[in-house]
Formats: sequence, structure tokens, C-alpha cells
Amino acid sequence: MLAVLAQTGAGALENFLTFTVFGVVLASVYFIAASGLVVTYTTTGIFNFAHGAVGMLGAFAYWQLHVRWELPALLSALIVLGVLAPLFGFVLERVMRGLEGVSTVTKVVVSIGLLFALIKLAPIIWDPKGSYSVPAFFGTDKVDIFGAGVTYHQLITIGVAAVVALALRWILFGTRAGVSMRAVVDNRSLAQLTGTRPARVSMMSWSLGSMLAALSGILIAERLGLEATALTFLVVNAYAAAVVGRLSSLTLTALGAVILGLAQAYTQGYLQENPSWMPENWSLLAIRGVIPVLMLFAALLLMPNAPLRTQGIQRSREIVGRPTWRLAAIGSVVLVAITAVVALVVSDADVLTIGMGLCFAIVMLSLVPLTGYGGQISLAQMTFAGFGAYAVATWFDGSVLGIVAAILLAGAVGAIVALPALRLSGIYLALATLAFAFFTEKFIFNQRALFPTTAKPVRRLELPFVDLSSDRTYLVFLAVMFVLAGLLVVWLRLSPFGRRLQAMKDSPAACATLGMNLTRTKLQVFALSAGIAGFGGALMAGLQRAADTNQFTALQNLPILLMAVVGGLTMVSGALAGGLFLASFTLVPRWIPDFDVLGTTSRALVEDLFALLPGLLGITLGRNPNGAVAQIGAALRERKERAALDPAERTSRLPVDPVADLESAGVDRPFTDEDVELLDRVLAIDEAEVAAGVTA
Amino acid sequence: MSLLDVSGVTVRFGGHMALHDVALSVVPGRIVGLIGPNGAGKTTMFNVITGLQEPTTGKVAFNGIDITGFKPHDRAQRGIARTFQRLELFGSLTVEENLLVAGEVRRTFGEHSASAADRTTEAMATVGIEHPADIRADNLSTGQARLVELARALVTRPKLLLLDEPASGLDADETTTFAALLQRLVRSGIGILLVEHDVPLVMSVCTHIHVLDFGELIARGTPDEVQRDPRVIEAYLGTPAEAAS
Ligand SMILES: Nc1ncnc2c1ncn2[C@@H]1O[C@H](COP(=O)(O)OP(=O)(O)O)[C@@H](O)[C@H]1O
Ligand SMILES: [Mg+2]
Repeated sequence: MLAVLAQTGAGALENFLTFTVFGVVLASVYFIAASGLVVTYTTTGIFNFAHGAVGMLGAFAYWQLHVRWELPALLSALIVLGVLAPLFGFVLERVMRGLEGVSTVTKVVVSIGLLFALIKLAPIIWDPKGSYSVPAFFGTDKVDIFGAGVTYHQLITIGVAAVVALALRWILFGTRAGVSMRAVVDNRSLAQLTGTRPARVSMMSWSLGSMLAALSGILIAERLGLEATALTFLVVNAYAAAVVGRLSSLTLTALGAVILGLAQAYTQGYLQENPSWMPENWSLLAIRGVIPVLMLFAALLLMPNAPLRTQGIQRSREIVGRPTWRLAAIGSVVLVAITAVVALVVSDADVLTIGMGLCFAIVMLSLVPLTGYGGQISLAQMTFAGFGAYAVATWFDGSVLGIVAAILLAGAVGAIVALPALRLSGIYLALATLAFAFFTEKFIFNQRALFPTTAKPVRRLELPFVDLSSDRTYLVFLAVMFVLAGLLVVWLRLSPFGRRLQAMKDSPAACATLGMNLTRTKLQVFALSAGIAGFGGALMAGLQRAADTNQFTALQNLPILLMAVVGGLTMVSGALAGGLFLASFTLVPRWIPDFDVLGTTSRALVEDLFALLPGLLGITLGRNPNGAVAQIGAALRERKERAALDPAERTSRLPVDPVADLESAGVDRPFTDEDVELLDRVLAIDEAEVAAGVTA
Repeated sequence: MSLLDVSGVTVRFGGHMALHDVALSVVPGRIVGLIGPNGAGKTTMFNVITGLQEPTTGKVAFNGIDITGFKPHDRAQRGIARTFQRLELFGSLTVEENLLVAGEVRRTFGEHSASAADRTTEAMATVGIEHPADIRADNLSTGQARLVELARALVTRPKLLLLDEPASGLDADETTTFAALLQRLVRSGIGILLVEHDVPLVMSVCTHIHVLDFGELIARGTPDEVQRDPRVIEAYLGTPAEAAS
């Protein structure tokens, strides 16, 4: 987008200055966005993946007020920032409040669900075929600074970032709520204590976070235009700045934003041609789009090890059922039988869609050992599947070896990606995998050397005794493959490795003090999981006779995780349900009779609804983190199990609630007002400082 | 030679000094007590020894090797095991699985001669777990859970055992049985460092006691010496009025 700026006639110095100004402007937007992330994370312990989507929504709302309804720019901005964004913050707080006592996985999934729902919601409200442009503040007038033309809009952006920095400094150092926010910044276990404080701090921080997100969205929309996905992920770039600040320090976040903005501006400005030393059909130019992602990775590498915290026995709301071989065998036979019947009766198009559902199910199955048993998060399973698809498209031409290559390649890639993030806690692994998904989409899968066209032809697997060339046979074959992979996962759960994964999820600290090498265990399960995903990707490519990079974009990872969790991550049947749900979103609108409803067609309406569904379902997970299949199973099982217990034994006598680390403050009982005082003392919060509102 | 030697350990949490220049040692075949009021820094000391908490300054040596910079799992492999004051059982696993997980951890320094299953059975017998082994760990009462944690630590066949308030949640009878169990354990040659609020229990089983107060080591010696120490009486054993509050 900066190509225009590098006019050939202009002097080198002017160019440099122009790039620098652009870098500082970008840095300003990144800082505003990242500071919002940091504020909510430090006060609530929730990393809001939907932060970018909130910014996107803010930009659209501003457009609606200012361009469509022709309100003055300042008034529109004030309405968005002063009314709509805080209101949205309240809603977010309500959604997130239900998340106490659930695992990091569920927290991540809920905010990913929100992200996904908002991305799908925007084009329903604002038809993507329309044209949306947001005029700059004060038009295109420029002031001349050392020969570089700087628009007023750019100046305002930089100024606003400076004001935000000062205002946040004042809030964090000069107000009671702010001081306690700041004090807990370096200590997560103590930060949890604020979770038991009145909801006001949490309300405030969600509103503040939403305002900052919306502000960044409004400021950048002028340059980027209004397009839901692009705008959302632009703010996602700010993650890198936030991670440089270790999700806690605003000063370091600002530094991260500046480095990020400048690095991006200079690469965009100076990297105009593909360097001659690149091998044929490889392009370095795409690196311009992945600078933030690379920086996120670098920042993660430099993070210190996460200390292992003790937490007491958690009576987690998420339950992992114990599979039995009998049930697994019955399930396997039933699945294959039903698929065989279905394959005979449905239409050609439906065979393909259901087949896709089974492939999705295999990819989701890869999350069962990783996330369901081991408690690790990955937002790159579809990307690993893409590597699997690449492998079958490239090597061994339809032989079984192609599938083996797919599993090995995806597994190896998974291990390499996970290695830097494994010593960190859950949220960073999620970020690292998401960053990798972006990197792959924008820099690997679009290299001509790997994928000459977006869809690379694939020769379907050839087996000695069955002919898979018919789609209907292939569908049954997919069911058999799902069963095989599913049995592997069941076996895993019942093996010592499965036990080890469960133990790691329940108490990493106890595992380590028993001699378990957590990093190695995580690496093993990550590679295994990526391998299963690669297997799914290879089968998907076989089904379509093509490895289509559009199916392996970063965004595609989100519905996979969402629907897998909705189905239930702790069970093989949950993965199957998740995959079929996802396919049904294409299937059901196809079956709906088409008629007019209020100016649109019924089918369009259903399609809109179904586009929102994965996100909406994801958001509701806070209430029921076990997934649909487990919910039904539990209702049946509960009666039996509880009846077997002595009435006195029916309630657990262990701490059930997510007890914050009270002990670490020397407190062994529920948290009272005196304890707040004690906490303040431990945290060295000075009441006098608070009272005086010192801005030191 | 002593099994564990901690010297000059200081731990700072922001402005708060949780431990200040503390030294202690444990020899094989003995129970050493570590007592002090709530918040004195006992659990923090355990975390330092097991590697969960990096000390600001100070040194931890085990069997003569400086392990200060070692990872928690590496220390465990060398023979340090612990229980947790706030219980860190694997809640979603059964009692038996909790022990099996511990038994199945691969040993860096030579595999145990007995299988994981055998060691599990043995540890359950040692601590006397009689309730069904297939009950989920998060359904246990606190007293039962403490015993299971102890058994889980024993499955790794430690040389040094750190027990963080193991008798809280036990009734009088159970405490007596528990004291006998501790005596039996040390007779096999392991060293035990015991944190416990039940003063009579500590006085009866320990050969040596360290007293912490606000992160400072205020006394060390035999139970008799410690009980007579005026600073200990003031700071910890306290006046009756204070003890009641
Ligand atoms: N992770 C931590 N962060 C900050 N302070 C802590 C932390 N852990 C412990 N502390 C502080 O260290 C002191 C000692 O705690 P602890 O070792 O748990 O005491 P004890 O086990 O003797 O009751 C406490 O006053 C507590 O405030
Ligand atoms: Mg303690």
C-alpha cells in the first residue's frame, strides 16, 4: 500500500522521512490497540482475541454515523467511543464473567467465538458489495515536516496515541482501581485475587478495552478501508506489541508498537522488488505482510519461562470421560454402517459435503489428545492439515506413502512451531500457533514453488483391493479412517501417555515435582496432534482431488477449534459431532426450500444465521464447557454414578471454587476486607499514594 | 554428610521479603521439622527446594551437588519428592492412576527394579489407603487426599521427602497412626523435612527443628532447645491469648 510513496523522483531522505512518519502512525494505532489488550488482560486474566473485531465494529459504527447518517466526524467519534464502545464493554463483561473456574482453553474459545461471530456479523449488517470509505479527518491536507508530507489525520493519530499513553498512565498511577491493577501486573497468581473484588474494576477495564479497540479501528479505517477481516486482523497485529510488553507493561508495549510500526513501514517502503538471490518461484515480497507475526514469534522466544504455580486440586467444570473399548467398538461399527447407507442415498453434492465433515472431524480429533486430555491450545490445526494436503499433492502420487509423508511432515512442522512456546503458559501457545497460521497462509502457502496455483491437483489414494475413485466409496473409506484414528486416540487415553497428559492438565506443578519433563511431554503430544491433523488434511485433499490453499487459511482454524469444543474436546464422539456440525452448516441451507422473507430469500437468511452459529455457540461455552455429546451422556450417567455414592460423599469436600492464591498472601480462609488490606500491604500498595493521587 | 543443604536463601516478592538468609539441612534417616506461623515462609522454602520458586539469592545443595539452577523435574529425578499444603492431586484421575502416573515417569538415573504397578500397590499398603482405588481424586476428603499425595510421592522412591502440613485434616487417632508411619519411613533411610502446625506431633517425631518467623530463621535445635527458646515462645508458641485469637 505504500508503493505510491516510493516515487522514483523523490530524494532518498524524503522517502526515508515519509516511511518513518508512516511507521510512527502505524505504531500509534498499534499502541492504542495493544494497550487495550493489556489493560483487560492484567485486570481480568482474559486475553481478548476478539479485541480486533471490536475495533472493526467500532470503525463500521463510525462509518454508519459519519458517512451514512452524515453526522459531524467529532460527534460520530464521540458517540462510538463514549457510548457504543463502553456499552459493548458491558456486554463483553457479562459474557466473560461466566468464565470463572473454566480452563484457559474455554476462555480462549469464548473470545475466539466472539471474534468469529463479529467477523461474520459485519458483512450481514453492512453488505460487503457496497463501497465504504472513511474520509480522513480534515481531508487530504498535508503539512510539510522536513520535506515529508504529513496529513492532519496522521498527526491526529500520533497525538491521540500520546494522549492515550498519558491518560492510561494517570489512570494506573493516580486512581485506586488503577493502582491495584498496576500492582498485580507482574504476578498472575495475585492478579487472580482481583477477580474476587467487586465487578466494577472488571466492568471498567472491559469498557476501557473496548474504547481503545474502537479508537484504533476508527483511526486506521481511513487508510485500510472497511473490510471486516482485514480490519480485524490489522488490530490482531497489535498482539505482537502487547507480547513485547509481556501483556503487562505499557511502557514495553509502546516500545513494541514503535519497533513494529517502523519495521513494517520500512519493509513495505524499501522492499519493492523480489531480491535476485531468492530461488526461483519463491518471493520475499510476501514477508511485508507477516512482519508483525514474525515479531510476535521473536517476542515469544524472548519471554522468560513461566513459573509453575500450585493451585490446589481443581474441581474443574470440564470433565474427561473414560472411554471403554466396548463402546468404542460399537460406535465404530455404527458409524461405518450409517455412512455406508448415507453414501447410497444422498445426492452427489451432499456426499462431498458429508465427506468434508468427516475430514473436519479427523482434524478436530487431533485436538482431543492435545487440548482435551493435555490442556494445550492450538489455533493452527487446519494449517497443519494444509501441510498434509501439500504432502499428498507433491509426493508419492496416490500411494499410501503419500499419506505417511503427510503425517510426518505435519508432525514435524508441529514440533518446530511448538518448541519455542512450550515453556510458556497456555495463552502464549495459542498466540504462537495463530501467528504461525498467519505466517503460513501469507508466506508459505502462497509461494509459487509450493503451490503453482491456489489448488494443487491430487491423485486420490489407490489401494490394492478397493477402488476409491467413486466419491461414494471414498465417503465410506473416510468413515473407516475416522474410526482408525479414533481408536488410536482411545488407546492413547487408556495408555500411560494418556494418563500423563491428564495429569499435566490437572497439575503441571505436581507433574514436575514427580520428575516429569513437561516440555518433552508437550512436544510429543503436539507433534502427534499435528500429525493427525495432517492425516485429515491429506484425506480432505484426496476427497476433492486437490489441495486447495483457501481451505487452510488462518481464519479456517477458528471454526475448527470452535466446533470441536462445541462437540466436546474430551471425547472422540465429540470430534465427530463437531465435524458433522460444521458440514451441516453447508448442508442444511441447501435443503431449505427457497422462498421470500421480508425482501430476502429464506435461504440467504439461513445461510447468514449459520455463518454466525459457530461463533455464537463458542460464546455460550462458558456455560457448558463440556460440549454437546458429553452433556447428553452426562445427563444419563449422572443418575447412575451419584446413586452409587453414600449421600455424605456426594458433595466434594475439597475446595470447589477457583480459589485464588490466598495462601500466598498468608490467608487461609475466604477473602474478606481485612485481607484486601493485607494484600495491599503484600503488594506494597501505599494507601497514602492512592489518596494523594500521586502521578509519580 | 547431609542430604540437603540450604544456605543463605532469600526470596523477595516485590517489596515483600518471604525468606531472608535462611539456612537448613536434613540428614538421611531423620525427621527435621520446619515450623512457624502462617505466612512465615515455610511453603516458599519448599518451593525453593523443589525448584518451583527461584530464590533471589542463596544455594540449594542435594547430596553434595549444587542444584540451585536445576529444573523441578530434574531435582525430582535425583530423589526429592514433596506433598503440597493445598493438595495437588490429579483431580480427574482415580487414586490408583494418580500413583501410576508417578510410577510411570521414566527415570534418568536408572530405572527402578520394581514395576510402576508394584510400587503403587506397595505405597498404598505403606500409607494404608483402604478406600477403593478407583474413586476419582477430586471426590476424596482432605484427610484421604493428603494420604494419597504422600503415597504418590513414595511411589517415586525418594531420598528426601518434603511434607507440607500433612497432618492437617487428620483426627487424633489418624495423627497417631501417621506419626508411626513417619517413623517407619525414616527408618528405611530417607530424610524427611516436615512442615506442620500440630506442635505436639512435631516435637514427638523430629530430631531437629527450625523455626521461621516473617521469613527469618529465629531458632534451630533439638525439640527441647527450641521449646525453651524465648524468641520462639514469643513469636510462635505465643501467649495463650494470642493462640486463641
Ligand atoms: N507467589 C507469591 N507472590 C507474592 N507473595 C508470595 C507468593 N508466595 C508467597 N508469598 C508471600 O510469602 C509469604 C510466605 O508465604 P508461605 O511460604 O506460603 O508461608 P507459610 O507456608 O509459612 O504459611 C506470605 O506472606 C506471602 O505473602
Ligand atoms: Mg504454607
